[in-house]
Amino acid sequence: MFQRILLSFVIIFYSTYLYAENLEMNSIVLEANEAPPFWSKVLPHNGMAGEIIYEISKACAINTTIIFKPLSRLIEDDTNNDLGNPAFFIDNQDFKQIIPIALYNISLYRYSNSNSNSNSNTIKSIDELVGKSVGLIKGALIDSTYFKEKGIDFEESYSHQSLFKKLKLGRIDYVIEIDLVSQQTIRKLFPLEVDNFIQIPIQRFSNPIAIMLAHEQENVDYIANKYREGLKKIIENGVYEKILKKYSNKRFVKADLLKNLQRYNLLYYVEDEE
Amino acid sequence: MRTTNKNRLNFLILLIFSLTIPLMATGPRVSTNFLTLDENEIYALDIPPFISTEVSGGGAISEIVNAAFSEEKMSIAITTVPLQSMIKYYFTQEKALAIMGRNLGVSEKDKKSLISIPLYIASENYLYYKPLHPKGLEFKGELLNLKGLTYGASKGEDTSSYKNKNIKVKKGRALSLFKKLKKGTIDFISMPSLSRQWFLEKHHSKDKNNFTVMEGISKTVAIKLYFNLNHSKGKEFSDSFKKGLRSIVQNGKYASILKKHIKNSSDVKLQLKFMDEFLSR
Repeated sequence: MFQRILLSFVIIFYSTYLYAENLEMNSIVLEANEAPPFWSKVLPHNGMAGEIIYEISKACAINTTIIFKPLSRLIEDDTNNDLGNPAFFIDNQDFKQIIPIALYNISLYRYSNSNSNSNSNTIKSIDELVGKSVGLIKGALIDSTYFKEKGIDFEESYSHQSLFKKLKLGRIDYVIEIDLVSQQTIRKLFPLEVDNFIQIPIQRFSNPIAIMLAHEQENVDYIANKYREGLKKIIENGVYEKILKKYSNKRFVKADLLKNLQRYNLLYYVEDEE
Repeated sequence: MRTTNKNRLNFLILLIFSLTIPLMATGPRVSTNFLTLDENEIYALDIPPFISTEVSGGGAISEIVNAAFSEEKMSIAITTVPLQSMIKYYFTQEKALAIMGRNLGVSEKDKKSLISIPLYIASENYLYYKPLHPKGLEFKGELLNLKGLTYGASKGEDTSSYKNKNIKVKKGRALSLFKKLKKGTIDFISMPSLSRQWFLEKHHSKDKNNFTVMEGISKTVAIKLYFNLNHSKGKEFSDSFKKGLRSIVQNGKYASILKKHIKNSSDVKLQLKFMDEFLSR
């Protein structure tokens, strides 16, 4: 009898130990900064990309925690796992694994209450912006010197809404903004004038949103493969599409998404360091 | 019901938008190459101050390339990228018109479909972090003097000579290599003097004197422009570029761009001599 109790105790203890070890091995902290609607503490599951992370983690049995910090602190820390567009981080940190999970587009917007000048809905060269004033969110401008020398005036703003108000009032000629943010802001501010805000695509490709895992992350290759596996599962089972539809009316084309994610997988492919 | 939930979500998002927005890591990033719609695109690997979005005119090399094409009245766009993997992707997958930089990691097989044009010859020196090596490190032209240490290489760099001399190799991007020097995870790196000065002034100005240069040239590396023969306009652009390059060397534009950026007259003379030799071949 005593032996049976002892054996049961040993089995329970060992199982709990294995479970805890497994849980610890599969517990990951990722760091993001407020970038609504993609990342935000106050949105359900931390925003659109936060929800993708949540579903990926659920699908691959990884316990992921997202911690929010100011961007400067995320960039300065070169031993952490980051979330966002790798372009903001890779100057300062060599990551062991970069896993693109979503995409976002950026366009120029101008305001016109007449359709007389249809030719100006494209911009092929930066020279077309010479002499113009362009509004953009504070912190988005990486190098102002070049644009100043070119004669392009950039006006930074702390709020998305003020950018589009200035555009409507003619105080600036263009706004550079994320499509998803622009659509929602314009609809809210000027619901009867949505068509007067002309979208001008300025980049041939979307921008990536990625999980970036540090060299310091334990079991980093294993974790990266689990995340990739989880991403594949939620794209296949339709969960990914449901998340996107919550935030955007844009048609979801699975083949395009997979193609673009694969493109960024190759662009950010990390070769072995040693 | 679903629509109501979506409306609530939109309301919440807009409420956040009305607040002050801090810097975002998932947002627009407007650098010199944000408007990349030109089909005649050259992908350049970032190597400040020669090629960089953080330097006026995109750096001396970017300015030289633009000036040479401008001489031939041709339009190109230089897109500066941070990773060697990106150069590899644009060249192999998207059949880019041209690629540019140093340590691009192009294989011998791929080189057969490229026309290379040297633009700048950079002599490099080894560099170490003095507080971690108080007795100093000595190269004196012989790698065996650095046996047992760890070399921080650029990604895409051929490191076989180090491994043959029992020197460990860790790879990284330039800025992270400086950090690794300070942390002691690597012992020495190799860099052109202008790049070394640029990084130290910009990122380590407070302890720049702790980074010490070893005696002797570690290597001589050419920053090159490679035209892709698998691109339909590769040959045409290569020929035009050579013509334009010859013109700007002859009319003094090449020298004036170098003088503006390099500010070292003996280096400018050396580059001019080298360029004359290349163009007379």
